[in-house]
Amino acid sequence: MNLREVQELFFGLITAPESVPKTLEARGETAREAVERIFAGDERMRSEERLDAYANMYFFRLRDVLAEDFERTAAVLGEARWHNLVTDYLLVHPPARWSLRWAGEALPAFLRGHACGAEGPWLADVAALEWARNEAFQAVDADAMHVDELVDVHPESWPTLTFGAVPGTALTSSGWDLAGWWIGGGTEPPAEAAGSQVLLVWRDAADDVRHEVLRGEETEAVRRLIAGAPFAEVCEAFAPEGTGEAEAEEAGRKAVELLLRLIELGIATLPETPR
Amino acid sequence: MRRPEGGERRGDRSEEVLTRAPFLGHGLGLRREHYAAILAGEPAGDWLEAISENYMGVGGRARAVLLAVRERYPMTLHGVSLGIGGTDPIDEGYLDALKALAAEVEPAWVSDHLCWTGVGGRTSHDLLPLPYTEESLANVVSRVAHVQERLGRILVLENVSSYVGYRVSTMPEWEFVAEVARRSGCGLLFDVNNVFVSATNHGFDPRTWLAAIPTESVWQFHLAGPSEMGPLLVDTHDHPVRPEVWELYREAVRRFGEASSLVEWDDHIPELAVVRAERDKAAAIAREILAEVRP
Repeated sequence: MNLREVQELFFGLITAPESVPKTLEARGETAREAVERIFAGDERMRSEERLDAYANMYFFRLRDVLAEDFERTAAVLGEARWHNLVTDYLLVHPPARWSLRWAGEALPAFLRGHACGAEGPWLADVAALEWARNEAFQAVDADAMHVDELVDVHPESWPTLTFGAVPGTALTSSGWDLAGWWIGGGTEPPAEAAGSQVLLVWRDAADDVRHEVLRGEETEAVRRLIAGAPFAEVCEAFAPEGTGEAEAEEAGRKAVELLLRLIELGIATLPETPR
Repeated sequence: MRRPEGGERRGDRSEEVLTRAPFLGHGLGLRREHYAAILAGEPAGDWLEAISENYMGVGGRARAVLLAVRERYPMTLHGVSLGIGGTDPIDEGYLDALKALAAEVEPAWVSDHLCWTGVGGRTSHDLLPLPYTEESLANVVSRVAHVQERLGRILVLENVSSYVGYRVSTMPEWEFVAEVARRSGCGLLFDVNNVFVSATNHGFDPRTWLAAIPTESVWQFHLAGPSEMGPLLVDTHDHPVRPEVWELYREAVRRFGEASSLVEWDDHIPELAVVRAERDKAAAIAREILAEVRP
């Protein structure tokens, strides 16, 4: 057996769903013989028990890291169900990237299709919000724009002007009032939202992660603005094409108000110096 | 930024490369739980070691603290995910991120572990022991060369604790580690606690290590406290340094001479003063032993 084969055997055993002794029992005598031929134990502890120490550390490390990343989700599920969820999750989405901070990347979507998520469909939305907040907390630094940078913009340039958002800014949506539930901090289900509740998540200038509810047309306007759409398209989110001059003017005013708010919140960025 | 003093530099390249360890003194591992105390000016020893992955490609508060602390202390970067003994290709994106962080932090050196972490595109986020064979040795040496070339600096490698051994090994761990250092030119981070943990788990005399390791290869010592898990000792960094480890550290200082030491504490982390007291003990022992061997 070459080095790679040894590592594949080791890794397969410590990441198996069952303990190493149980896994070997299921795999049969040949597997056990291979382990005894390659790994060393002694009278205090057999090699398979020693490998099992790694298996335990693999699982418990990830379970605990994920519980930190999804603190609210784990609290709602309770210890036993969280343990089961993570067990199932790691079998489908074992960590593949060099930092533990990405280990939970697929957990919100996984929870949506898992029995734990089916019990309370809102819980996957909580997990998605927690993940968005984690991403915002760790996102790389970037300078948010200042309102003074718009002073010299020629009026004719405004329709084609584009903006962005500081890294980590995200929109999450839910059919439940997660914003209210988050403040309450309980484990009971949140109230249903009237329609879909969209939350804007970002990290502010003091490096605190915040989220707030977007309402009505501003949701689409924010979506367009942070995606780098020309400002004219941001305005159109408030007044679809073909509406009258007065409505278009009102839409422009609302779009500027929104932009100023995003600047004040430390979210908006300017990819290029406007002229 | 304060730069470490000492150490030899190779050639007259504009980017100078340290080929021998500078002496940083006796330091602590930088941990989130101590950010506030350190920023408030509470002493944290002579230098700090930051976990590389906690700051690679990361912004916000963690990065701001790292850079603020770096203004006050010499620092090294200590990684856990390089997987130098692995058989998957080295993650070039990882090296890019590490190199970018090193350019920003200007660490005295960059270290990681002499182990493997995963295979087949998956990672355990653990420090898994290698079989000590010629194949494994050649693999590590070749990968160290690549990493050192990419980073433009000497890589310092730490011996890991292990809980299982390999019947297929053809040499003892200390011989393997010494050979890695000789053939690759890497530095060694001699983790005194890991030697003690592995010696306990596998039943060898930890002092065997001391005679085997080339003295000029040792750049740094690590000190930490393990936990008991049944008959095993586990490298949990959640207890004070054990008396047996202090004793082994004394012998290591006697053998390897003046090398920077660092106390790690990663779980159930006490207040900074408690960790600092361990660091003070390491400094006092080094002073005492060096006074003996340098009359």
